[in-house]
Amino acid sequence: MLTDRLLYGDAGVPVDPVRAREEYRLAAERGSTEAMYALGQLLLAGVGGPADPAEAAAWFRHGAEFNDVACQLALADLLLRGVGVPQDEMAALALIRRAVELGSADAQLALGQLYELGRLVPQDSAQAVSLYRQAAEQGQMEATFRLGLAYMDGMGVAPDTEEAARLFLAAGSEGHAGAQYHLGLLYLQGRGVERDPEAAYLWFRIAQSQLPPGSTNALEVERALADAASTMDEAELAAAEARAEELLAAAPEPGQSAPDEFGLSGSLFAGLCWQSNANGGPSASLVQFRGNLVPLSDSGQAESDVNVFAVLGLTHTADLDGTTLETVFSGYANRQREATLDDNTLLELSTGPLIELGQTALGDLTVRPYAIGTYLASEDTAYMWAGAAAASRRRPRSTGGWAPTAASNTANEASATARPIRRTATRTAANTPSISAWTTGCRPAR
Amino acid sequence: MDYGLSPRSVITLGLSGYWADARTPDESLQSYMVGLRYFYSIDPLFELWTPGAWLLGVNGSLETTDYDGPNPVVNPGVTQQDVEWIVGAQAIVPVTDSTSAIAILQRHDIDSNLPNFETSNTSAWLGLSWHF
Repeated sequence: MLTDRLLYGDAGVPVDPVRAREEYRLAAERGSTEAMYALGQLLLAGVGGPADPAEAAAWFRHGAEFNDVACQLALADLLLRGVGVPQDEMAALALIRRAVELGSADAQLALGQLYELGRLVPQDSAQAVSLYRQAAEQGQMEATFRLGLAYMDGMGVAPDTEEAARLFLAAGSEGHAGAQYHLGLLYLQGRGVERDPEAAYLWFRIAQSQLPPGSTNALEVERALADAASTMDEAELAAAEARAEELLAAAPEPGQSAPDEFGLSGSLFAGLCWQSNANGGPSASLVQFRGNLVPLSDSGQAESDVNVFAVLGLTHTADLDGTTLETVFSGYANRQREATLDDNTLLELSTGPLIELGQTALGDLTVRPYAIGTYLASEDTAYMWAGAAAASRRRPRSTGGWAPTAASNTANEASATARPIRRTATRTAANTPSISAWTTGCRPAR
Repeated sequence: MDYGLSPRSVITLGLSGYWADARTPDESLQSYMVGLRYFYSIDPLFELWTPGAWLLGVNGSLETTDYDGPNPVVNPGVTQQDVEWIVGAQAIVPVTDSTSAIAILQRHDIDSNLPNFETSNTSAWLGLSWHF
């Protein structure tokens, strides 16, 4: 986005926070909740002009009303601190709860911390752990770390240092210094993992590299490093230090994604479906055959039936030199109780790059041109290949959007996929051979 | 494209175009679709294993399809033109952190200039959705 380049600089574009603030303001006035959040942050920090916490709060409030969880949490933070708005802790709590309902991992973390501390809500460690777990399952690093602490200390959950080590490894691998430090401690003490001072030393060194020198946390890590070093002889220490240097040199710069980043998500929807017209029979009693009206045969009449169905969706995203390639697999299969001729299986695979168009009149748009392959199997089989493109409005910042988005998308996909596949009635009308019975009326689900 | 109308409601607009160039004109087609979906979240009537808003939604779509040429077996003098309507309602209830129960009721009608392709279907779906 132009505003990001104005703020953070880019080849050939000077850093211009004043203009960036104006660009964000224009976009916010056009209704972009991302811009409302960004403008609020600039107003809070006094970047590109004087600080104005009251106006920042107003923009966050506007974004919050439009379901933007980042704005909801930012406004909650101001309400808790009484910055730019009168302090109102209960209003802040309500905003955080609303963001939790919308599925925000950041909000789940925030509410979990309130339950852990017993601030604004009754102290409830089990509830805190439940919220941390929900956030961790969405990849929230701090929540993953805090869940690990809960398992390590037996807070709100039975102590399980193996699970704690697994969670620290998950968060530590993503760059969480606290998780790296605690994983080092577990290695040093042999709790939950086999005792390994060299591994402990490596994790302490990685944590140390991320902390401001001289900070309290850095000093704590230094002490732990010394403890780990004291358990190794000189050769072991030299080898560990060399390995640490090697790891740190290979680590990605801040802001870069790790080269082996692998994103796969999906959903499976399965159940029962009743249809009044399971075989896609025509409504009319007379149909056409070579231009003449003929009675519809008994076998062509609409039949109701029940089927079991399953819809599987898998999405993989890969970063290819700054371009995001999205590959989507969709599969649908049903098996009818009686109308077995109408059992069908539909498989689709599409792939294409996500191209960000930035702000447009319709909002922040991303376009995905893609190539698609479709396989359909029923009493006849058809293959179809096509090129297509889809545009979508960029999702709100954070984990935002709509709480069970995945569920609603799955349901939508299922109903779209499973439209009764149209068949020509010619065959049933006159007992002629099937004339591309499926390909005539059938198209891949979109 | 999703638009939040209020903290509890969101509307989704879908537009699509589809063109198929097949070996015969009666299998080649152009299709255009516009769809709307509206979801409203309500507080759970009762909680299962996980807290979370329930979603109630309605959706509708209109799609027109024009084929390039007549199907000689059906009617050599008429090129098929279809208009498809879909209206439906959905309820989504979170069951656990990663699963939801989903119920869908849907009506699907196709109006065609050829009686062979005029059809209607009412369907009811009940199932579990698992996200991973």
